Amino acid sequence: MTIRMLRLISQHVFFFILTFSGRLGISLGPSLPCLSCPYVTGCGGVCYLRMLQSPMGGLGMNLAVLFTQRGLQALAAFGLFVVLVALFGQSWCGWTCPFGLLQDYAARLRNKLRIREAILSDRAMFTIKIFKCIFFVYLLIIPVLITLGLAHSDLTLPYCAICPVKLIMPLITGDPTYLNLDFTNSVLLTESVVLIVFSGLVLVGMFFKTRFFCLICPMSLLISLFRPIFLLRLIKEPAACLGCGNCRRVCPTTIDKSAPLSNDLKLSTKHIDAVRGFAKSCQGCFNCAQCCSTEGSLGIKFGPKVIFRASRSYAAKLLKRKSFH
Amino acid sequence: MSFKAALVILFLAWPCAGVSWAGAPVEAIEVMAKAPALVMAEASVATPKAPADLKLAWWSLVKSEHSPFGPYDYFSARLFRLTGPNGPLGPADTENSEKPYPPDHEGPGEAIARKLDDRQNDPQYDQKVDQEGGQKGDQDGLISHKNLIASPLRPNSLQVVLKKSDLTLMGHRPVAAGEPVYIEASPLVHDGAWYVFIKADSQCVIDVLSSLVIGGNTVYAQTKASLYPPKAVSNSPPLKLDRVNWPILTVKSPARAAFRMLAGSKLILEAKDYRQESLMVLDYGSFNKLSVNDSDLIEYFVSDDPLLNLSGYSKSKEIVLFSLLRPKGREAQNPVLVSFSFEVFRNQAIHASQKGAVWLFIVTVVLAFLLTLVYRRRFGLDD
Repeated sequence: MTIRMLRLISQHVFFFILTFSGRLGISLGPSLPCLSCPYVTGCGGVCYLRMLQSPMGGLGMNLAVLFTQRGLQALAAFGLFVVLVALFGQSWCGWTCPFGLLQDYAARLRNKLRIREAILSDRAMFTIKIFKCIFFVYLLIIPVLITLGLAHSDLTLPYCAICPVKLIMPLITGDPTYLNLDFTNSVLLTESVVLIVFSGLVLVGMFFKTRFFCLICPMSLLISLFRPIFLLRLIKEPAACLGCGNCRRVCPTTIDKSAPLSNDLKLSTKHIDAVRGFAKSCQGCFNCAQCCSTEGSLGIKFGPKVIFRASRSYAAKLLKRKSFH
Repeated sequence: MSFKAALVILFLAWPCAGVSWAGAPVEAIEVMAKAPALVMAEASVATPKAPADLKLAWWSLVKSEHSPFGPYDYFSARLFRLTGPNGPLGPADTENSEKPYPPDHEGPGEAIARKLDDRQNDPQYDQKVDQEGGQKGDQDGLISHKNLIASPLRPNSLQVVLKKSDLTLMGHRPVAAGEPVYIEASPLVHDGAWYVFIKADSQCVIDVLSSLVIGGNTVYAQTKASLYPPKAVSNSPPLKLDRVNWPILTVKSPARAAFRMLAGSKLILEAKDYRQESLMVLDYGSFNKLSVNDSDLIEYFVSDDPLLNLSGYSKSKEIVLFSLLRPKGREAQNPVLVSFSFEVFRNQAIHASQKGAVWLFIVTVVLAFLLTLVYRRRFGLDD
């Protein structure tokens, strides 16, 4: 069984668990490092971004309650999130995220319709990264401002209020509850308008660009902050790289790991990230390692142990297929 | 200030100002009409330190008639205790408890307080209440506690028997009619409080017969509840809903009350001490001590937190526990009567438009799709 097949199975199993298994009484808790949306009725776990914004267990929490039971629960949730991220790193995005699977299916539909995938220019990528940072800062700052009384209380859970997953995932399960314009006040109206427009743009974007939302997903950015402690990681032997560009072509977020690197790691940040396999947009799908046709140039490592090394025969077997995504 | 600067300030201030206005479209009830009615059944019991004759403090059902946003109400509650030297506690004041109380009307707290006063003054009161309860139960079509036979349940478990099918206990599979469901006390349940969440997608009437076994003693509670799907209501009041009374709570120190509301809902809790004894209401989360005197109002904002969700099912709902503790040194005194009432303020989705949202969504998707298809190179999508 190939890594690709394992990933497909993992994605579908987790999609079912995280979307429907709450109806069976299963709950994986509020610390999941993937977009398991709590607004889906019957979901089996909750994305940690929600907890992070929550006034009851996140940045909006009053410091006075930090050492109460609630504060300790919040710390435990954060600790669990860190452990989960440390274990599997960015692979949460590529192997478990339910919204990631939806995006993969959108890409498959595009391929079926023979529409060419959009290739983002460097400038477009830079703009998108700015949006990603804005979203991340927004979800970090607003809860604190609410606690300090400097922001309107209806801005609670600021990112969840505009996250496209909140609208799209319930719609996928047949629940249109969150598809409404809320006229209660200008805060809620603005949030609902932004949610709908943003969701529409993301739907279109994920059709034209594989894993489009991952480029702006703040969860991806949050996970990448813990890069130094990842156990599951991509490794690269720069000296062995021929610069063929296979890795970039099969990468859903178009990360170029085939840059002409030398053994000197004092390169630009982008290249060091590429060498370590920890670029901020990396999904941990390991498509690049599987399709690398240079022996030993790319590999997968868990802790100190190398569990996979790129090989010409393995890549040839996979690249025979029409579409890798 | 230039016109452009004013526009920029307006653009930035508008989303943060919380400006509300009258005349906004009211379609939210239609949006929420597809949400199932939620019913919460709660059993709260005294801790093991309480005297052995008072194992089950109260049992009640709480329903949300329209939606999780809508008004809360509770059903008639009957409380029977088969064991213990004092016999049954007697039924709750069901006639008064099914409707919101006008301000000058005797609420359940006063009614029960009066009954307990009568009970203290009349040595035969327990026996009378026992007979009244049984007869009234028969008249209502409910099974009298005398007809119930203690079943060999497992200790510290709650058995719920639903008399109608098509119901789902949240977190469990659908339950067939008459099928007993055993619910083990989970670590998240505090001090012997069990929660049963029942979801109904259509109008139905259920009989809930529950047996609670604590320390080998079996306590039965039976209630009849009507579940309605949310109704479409137009021109509803914009903010404040009818006052909804919380069921009478007879507590033996210490005990807990719990209620369930939608996240983001605003809650005002009113705690009354009918015996004029000092009580402290502790916010479960922060443990902020709040002194409660007669008619004190505690404003508590129910936040959005999955941590306190006991069922693990409805993640957007909130459960808040308030603890009632009597002052130290007075724990072993007679039961204290506390009546909770709270007002529910409609929060989100009251002034909402689903049609507008659908149109906005469709227009956004179509426009973005066409523009991307036509101008993908100009947008920098083809490098």
